[in-house]
Amino acid sequence: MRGLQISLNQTQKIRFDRALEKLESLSSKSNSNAAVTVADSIPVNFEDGVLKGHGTSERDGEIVATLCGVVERVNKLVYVRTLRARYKPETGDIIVGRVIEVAPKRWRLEINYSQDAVLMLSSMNLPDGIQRRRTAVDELNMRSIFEENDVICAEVRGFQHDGNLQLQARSQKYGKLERGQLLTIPPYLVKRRKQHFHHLEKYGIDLVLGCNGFIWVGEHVEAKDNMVEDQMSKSEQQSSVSSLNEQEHNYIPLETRQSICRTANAVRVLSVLGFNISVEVITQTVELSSSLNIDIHDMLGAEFYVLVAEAEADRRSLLTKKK
Amino acid sequence: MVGLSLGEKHFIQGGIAQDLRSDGRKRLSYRPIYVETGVIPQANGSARVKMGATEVIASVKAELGKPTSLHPDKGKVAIFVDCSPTAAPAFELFGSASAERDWLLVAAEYKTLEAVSSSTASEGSGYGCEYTAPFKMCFSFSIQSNKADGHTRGPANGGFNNAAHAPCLCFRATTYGILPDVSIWSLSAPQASNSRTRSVNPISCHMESICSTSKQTAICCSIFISYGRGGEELSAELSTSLQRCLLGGKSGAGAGIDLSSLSVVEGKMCWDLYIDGLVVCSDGNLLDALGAAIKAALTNTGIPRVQVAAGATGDEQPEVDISDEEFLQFDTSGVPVIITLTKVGKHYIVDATAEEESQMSSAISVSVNRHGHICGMTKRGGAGLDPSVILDMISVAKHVSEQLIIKLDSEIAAAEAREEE
Repeated sequence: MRGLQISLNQTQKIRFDRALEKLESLSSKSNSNAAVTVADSIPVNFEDGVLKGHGTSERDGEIVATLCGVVERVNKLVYVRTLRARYKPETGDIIVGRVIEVAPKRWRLEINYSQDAVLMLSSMNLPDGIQRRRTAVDELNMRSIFEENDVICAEVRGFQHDGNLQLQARSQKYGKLERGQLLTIPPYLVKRRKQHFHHLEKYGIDLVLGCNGFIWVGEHVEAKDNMVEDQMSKSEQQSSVSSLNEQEHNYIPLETRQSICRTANAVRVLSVLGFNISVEVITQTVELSSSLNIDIHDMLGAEFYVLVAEAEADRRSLLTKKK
Repeated sequence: MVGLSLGEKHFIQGGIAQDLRSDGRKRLSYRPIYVETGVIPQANGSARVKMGATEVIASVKAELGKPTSLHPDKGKVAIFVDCSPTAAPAFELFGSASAERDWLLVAAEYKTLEAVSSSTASEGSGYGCEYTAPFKMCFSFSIQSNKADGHTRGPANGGFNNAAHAPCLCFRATTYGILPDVSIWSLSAPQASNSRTRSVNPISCHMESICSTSKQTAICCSIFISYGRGGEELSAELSTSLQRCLLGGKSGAGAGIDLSSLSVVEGKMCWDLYIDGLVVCSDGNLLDALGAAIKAALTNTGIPRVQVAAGATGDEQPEVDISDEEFLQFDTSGVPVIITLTKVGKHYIVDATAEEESQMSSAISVSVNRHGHICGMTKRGGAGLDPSVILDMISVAKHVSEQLIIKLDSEIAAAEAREEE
């Protein structure tokens, strides 16, 4: 991790360094010969024509790396992939984004990428669930679906001809995320998996691991079936908006809130330590903290960082032993 | 700071009401504080303080100066704060550096250089021409957003939509040769951009100057595009709050820093302390962090020992010998700490993050010293407060200050020990 700025006392430092050494020894067994630094020459079979991709350049007849990373070869293409790269969207990625603009027939979302993503009105389910052509009235009512600064989870549909990133949110599980908090972590820590939506039943919370590094931790919300609950939801919405004073009764119950904060702190600790974020690691960290009766705020203290590093080292050594 | 959705705001307010904030803290607990001293070796004293993501650096420089006639037996202390443009997007500064990144100079056209009342014919072209005074120069240029997605996103919420953040165009012309006697630059108002199309239209501007100079001048122009007010307002506000909290009133009464210890020769020479604060990263609660950094920097300050030559008479400046090796540690037992209480809904919190501060109705910063006495107070925020609420907040601040002073002293001692290693 870059510059862990936490004051550790002597014993903690020793334990921490030991855990890090153990992790390093476990990981270096994998293909370290593929790793290059700047100005390393890349071994290439010159008999086939070679395409020089990103991160390479030709020097004195040799192919030399211009980035620090891992060499990847795809047929004749040779390129260097950096380890801490900016988020690179691929079709089918689940991402969490924030609306920054409501434009004609589309919403613009910020997704921690070099440009903003676009969610078309036609790629979004209408509140009443009917499949129909979007009319001008729908366009005027876009704000009732998503407003500025709303947090939304969606799926990457693809790139347009002009390079814009398009999203779609057609399924029930996509849509606005309320009643929770959004965390930002470096995108390279979230690997692509089969599942990015997790419902932790034990704690009653929803966890969405966006591939772009935005993680949503919130109260569990049942995926509503729009067709059935059309009438009921409309009346509910009206009453909830009018009763601003009764918002206190709508606050998330304390138990759920504690789980949300514990999970969020676990994600923060793991991201600072630079460990890959996945549901298993997060739940293990949360269980570790509750089993040791560590106060939620103390999870961000020095002692817990050391404990998490040690636990991760133990977990990885178990995994390699199993193999 | 990015905006927050309604659900997130509700979550934050609910957390504060239920005494469990987003990172698990109670209402009256601080984030972990990390102190580092001696970060600037050229200064007499310096410190860096991190409270969560908020990071500030304070430095103290001591110079010999003359005391004011009102207080001949006291030294002087000046506090300045600067918000670095890297701290938060809202502080994105004035200057062509950021302007080049966000705004592209599309066309700069040097229109005319004509003599207003010509006595000799104009000659030459371009910038270096010979005229007799007065002459008029028109310069027109237009700027356009340079963002990849082609949309303006200025500080806070977008380019020209928010008048407070509209870029103001400044024009600076340096004349080589003889400076014009009178130059009046008048800027015609830039075309208001259509908020719909936002940034695709370039903004054009027309400037005129009437210079009266009779010699040859070569006019070299640089265009300065500045964004809104940036961090200047915040820097000024922080500086005045710190001065009020640490230095007391104009008469010097109630100062947290003992100024009479800075006097060298009464009436003739004293130490001037220049305390500079730099906000490196802003995530809320800047005042507390700056107060802690200044306290740590003062603890780290070594003032050189001064030996005054005996026998100085009358108005003469006495000769002094400033030692390079012996240093006197500044006495910081009386320096107060600043506690900021932010009121969100019905409850107060201490050490608010930037998200929590966006939900605040008002905030009070109280500086309390070791003996539990209040040295200064500032109130921020648009909402009014009932006097009973203010008294309650002050008593809460006093209660919190006891633990904070102990914590801060131990962190500063640990930092000094680390520095010595």
